[in-house]
Amino acid sequence: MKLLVTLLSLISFSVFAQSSITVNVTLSPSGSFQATSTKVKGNLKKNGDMIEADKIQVMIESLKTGIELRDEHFAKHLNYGTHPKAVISGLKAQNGKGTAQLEVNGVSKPVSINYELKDGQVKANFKVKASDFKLAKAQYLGVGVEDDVVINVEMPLK
Amino acid sequence: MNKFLFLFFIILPGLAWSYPNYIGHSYTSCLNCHYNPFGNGPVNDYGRAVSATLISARWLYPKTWTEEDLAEKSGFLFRKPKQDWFRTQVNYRRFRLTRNPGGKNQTELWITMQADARAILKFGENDRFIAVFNHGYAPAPMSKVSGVPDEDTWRSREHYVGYKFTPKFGVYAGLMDKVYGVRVVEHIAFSRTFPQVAQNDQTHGVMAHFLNENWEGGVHGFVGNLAQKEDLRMKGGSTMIERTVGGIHRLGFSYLNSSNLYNSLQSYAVHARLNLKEGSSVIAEVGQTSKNITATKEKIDSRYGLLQTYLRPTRGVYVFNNIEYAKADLTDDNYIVRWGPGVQIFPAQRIEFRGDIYNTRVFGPETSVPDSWTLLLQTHLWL
Repeated sequence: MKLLVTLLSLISFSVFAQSSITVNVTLSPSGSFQATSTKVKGNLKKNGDMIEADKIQVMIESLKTGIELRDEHFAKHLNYGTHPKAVISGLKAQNGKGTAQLEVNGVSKPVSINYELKDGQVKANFKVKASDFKLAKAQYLGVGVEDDVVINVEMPLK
Repeated sequence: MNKFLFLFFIILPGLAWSYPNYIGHSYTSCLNCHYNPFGNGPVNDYGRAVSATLISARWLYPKTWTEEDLAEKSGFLFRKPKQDWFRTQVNYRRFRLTRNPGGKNQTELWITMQADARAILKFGENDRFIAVFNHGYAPAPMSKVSGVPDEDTWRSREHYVGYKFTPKFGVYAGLMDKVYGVRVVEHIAFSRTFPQVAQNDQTHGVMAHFLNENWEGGVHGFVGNLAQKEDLRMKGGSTMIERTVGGIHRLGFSYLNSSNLYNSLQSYAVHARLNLKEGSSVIAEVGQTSKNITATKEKIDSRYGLLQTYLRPTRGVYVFNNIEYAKADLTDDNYIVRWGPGVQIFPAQRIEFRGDIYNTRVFGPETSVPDSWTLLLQTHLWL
């Protein structure tokens, strides 16, 4: 599920500090955490009215949750040993909405994106289901995570 | 009467054992880490792992120990439990209370606040059925009330059974804390003493707890602590409901109504728990109580406020600040403000050191009570 986070890269983005991907995970029975990476590779390009990106990617291990042990569990759950990256490809967006292909855990799925462009910075979000990416239900000592994951992406528009 | 109340409230700032400030780590609900869904009491396996890998520093551990090692050693006696159905815990707290530190009339007192042995039986998926037993030491009150018999200082602190019909809805029955307000660490905080939800105010009753994406709450019907004489037992009910705001904060409302042969108490409060992230948080509660004394038909309305800030400069360290307000009688001009900073250090799991300084001042047009200063140094150990 956490792999989904990687999806974030979808939106067009680059390796600079202004870029970030945040995976919002809801815990069960209660609570939440965010896994965030600022090491996003790729660029968002403007093509007329369209915003496009060929490939945006983030290394799973670069996503940090605020607890070292949870970082390890998160990366393992996303099978980072076999699939170390999450990749967004074929991003095309216009008028606040877009589509892309997200690959996490070796599974590629289309995603629908909402975004807003302000002062040259794109803020996008999309929702995915961890189970769509063949990610087993995560649970640790009785606390699990919900299947729905929201991903926020912030990147400058080149 | 009012002077007596003032003195009573400034006698003993003390400490209890519930940490609602961990909303700063995005744990909005107590249920993740505690068997009691409203917090306090025994911590579950997940809570112990969080304590070891998030709350506590790792200053005393070998560098070769991984975070996974710390989580596995977070169980009772540093062991990973070999079965799923039984857990034990031991807690000990002792602190030194210094009144007027550095002053001519400085006094010091060592107080054992807690010496508990806990046992938890749990069965089913996600601990669907639990039975919690907590037997331990309860220090005798420093202000003895005439005519009230001494209570046994070694007694059951809580014992209850619980059944979760779903992971987010459960019913609990037995001796528990009342469902009301924020269970802050400071058990003599006005927000806990005024509505009578402090360290020794557990009650027998039945409590229902529910939780969904945006709301969490509970309803508690109680008949008093059956260890007390019947005429002293406060019977009634309470409720608390919280709404998640912005995904990481909580706003809540509480109501309590209880009575015994001698008086009745109504209390209501609103509170906020705000997540400043990285472990830092703000907790606030404002409430009002109305106490009716049966014999005299006297009615006393009181008001209280609490504001706490917790900052986490590094793992294992919390720097905090308390500001409390109390007006014991709304018809009177006098009121109390208690303020103080403190630091809480967890050098390793199972060890907590805490230091508090309290300044208490009574404000009023006809009051000349000097400021009270109190220094508290606490050690908390658990297995």
